[in-house]
Amino acid sequence: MKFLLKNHISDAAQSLKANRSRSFLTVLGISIGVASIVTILSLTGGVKRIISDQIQQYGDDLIVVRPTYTNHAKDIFSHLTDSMSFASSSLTLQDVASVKSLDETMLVAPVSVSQHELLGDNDAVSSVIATTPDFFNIFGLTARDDDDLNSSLSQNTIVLGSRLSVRLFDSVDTIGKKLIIKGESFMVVGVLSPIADPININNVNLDEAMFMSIEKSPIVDKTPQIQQINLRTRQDPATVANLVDQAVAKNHKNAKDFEVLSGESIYSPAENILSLMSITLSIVAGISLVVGGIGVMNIMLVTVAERTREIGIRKAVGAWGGQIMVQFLIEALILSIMGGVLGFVFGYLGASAVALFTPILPFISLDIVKTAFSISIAVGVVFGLYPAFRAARKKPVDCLKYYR
Amino acid sequence: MTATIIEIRGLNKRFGVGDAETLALRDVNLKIKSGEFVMVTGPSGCGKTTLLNIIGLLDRATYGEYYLDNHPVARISKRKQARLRNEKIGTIFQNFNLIQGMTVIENVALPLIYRGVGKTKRLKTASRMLGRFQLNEREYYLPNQLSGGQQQRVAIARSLVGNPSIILADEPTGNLDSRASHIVMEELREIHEQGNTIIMVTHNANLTAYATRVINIIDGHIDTDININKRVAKNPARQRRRR
Repeated sequence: MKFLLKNHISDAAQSLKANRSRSFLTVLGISIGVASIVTILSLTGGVKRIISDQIQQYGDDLIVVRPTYTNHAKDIFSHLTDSMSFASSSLTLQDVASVKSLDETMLVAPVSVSQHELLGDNDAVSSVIATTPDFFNIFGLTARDDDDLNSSLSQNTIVLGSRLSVRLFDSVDTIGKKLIIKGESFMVVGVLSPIADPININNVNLDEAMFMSIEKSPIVDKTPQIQQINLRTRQDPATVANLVDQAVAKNHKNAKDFEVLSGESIYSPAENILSLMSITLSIVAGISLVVGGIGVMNIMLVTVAERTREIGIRKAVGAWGGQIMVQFLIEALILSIMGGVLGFVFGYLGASAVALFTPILPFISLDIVKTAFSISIAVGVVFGLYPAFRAARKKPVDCLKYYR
Repeated sequence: MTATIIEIRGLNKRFGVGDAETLALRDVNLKIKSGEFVMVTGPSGCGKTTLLNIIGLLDRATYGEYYLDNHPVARISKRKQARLRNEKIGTIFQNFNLIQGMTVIENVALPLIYRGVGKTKRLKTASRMLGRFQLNEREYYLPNQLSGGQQQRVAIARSLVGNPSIILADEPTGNLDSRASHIVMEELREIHEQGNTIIMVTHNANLTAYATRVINIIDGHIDTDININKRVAKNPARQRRRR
């Protein structure tokens, strides 16, 4: 069987050229749908890349212990609701001590975040992170004047994020200044260098945070909650994670009210939420694609009606239904593929425009190219099939009787 | 004895349903031998075009038997029928039926596309065919830039390009003035003399002079069927020499 592909393509090109503006508008309709999907995919791709960059930056030897409250359901919705139940954590200072006592753990930093009013030269409400100096080493945070931060958090000394320092004292040069939290006076012994990362640790912008010793946290927070224990190891993270798991489980009398994460799984909740968002947005964008596809179908039905006589002539000289069908299907496909290409360009430009205002760089992978291409082909086939089928089914004698 | 190329038995064609039902053809029996020039005449609406469409595989009979080259058409698939239209049958219409968006040469080459002939060979064959009708200098004109007579000659060239054995012509001179009609009829006569079977539907009684057989249809039924035996082109080559 001959499909006469070359002839069909040149026929289609001729027909589309003959109706330039109408072809262009149809292509535009498809391209808007494809563009929105490409934009969404390239932006979520960009965010995912930031996350993976961060994993690389922090290394894969980071291990995190988090409390869990939900049962064993590990789906994304329970993760989403998990964060609401951090009111009381199952992790204790005893757990921190047990983890610390393991030979394999190098750096251990519990994290307890709370919000407090800080009284300096200016007043500010800010996140207070109660932790140990290991925190700075784990996340590679440095003081702006290269001070050693290892002994910075003790009795009544604190470290400030650079922007918080400015908010409180209108300066980043604030070492030695005093501030008051809940009537207790603390002295600033270090200010962090500004942090370029757009993604925060434990949902806190570290530039805007204050760091204090976890031992002193009961002064400002009667029942400190350890939301997380971060630790770093020099050995195989998975093995060490296992040891940590055993140590903490012993304290918890084997109750499974915590989880030990290492490597990429630390970021999986964020990635899952991202994927869910990107799927949701893509579905919304898919609606515009359906509208564009209906445009293709509409225009193809018009074309088939206009060219009824031509169909009759072609059949009279020996074309059979299948060849007529392929001819019109190819015309629809050309429309939708052109829409796909144009949409890809629009989508990339759109994502780049968004990138101008956000730290997200648009990210185009081969997968996104493939997705855009296959989506446009699918739209062409799905919405071109019916008009093509109608063209193929017409009886030659009826077509030849048709007058415009 | 020349072979029977078309045989029709008890053919009926019904249009419409219920009150609007009309019988365009009723109980038509017909045998056409290879090499005949058959003219089908009759008043408007008598069913002659319907008969031609059924013979040309453009339409199907409601019931009755139709054998093309001794094959029962009813049992041939649609796809096979398309191939028969392409290879065995050339059709000429009253209103030419050229595709307006295509040049003359592309129109003539159209049947060859569906035979899978490559572009260069296709256009060469079409060009040769147009040369036979003295239309070479019009090859890249669009159909609407030609006169009616020229358009009909292009249509004839198209019907012949695939070298079919049967030419069906539905009022080929119906839209032409007498001079163009004459030219077209002479072309058809020549085609006939080369051994083709021609079945032509016409209103014009004057044209029956070209035929070897005249069938008159009235109300969907064959009324008279006259053979003009002396004109049967049994050996076209000899006949041409005689002329």
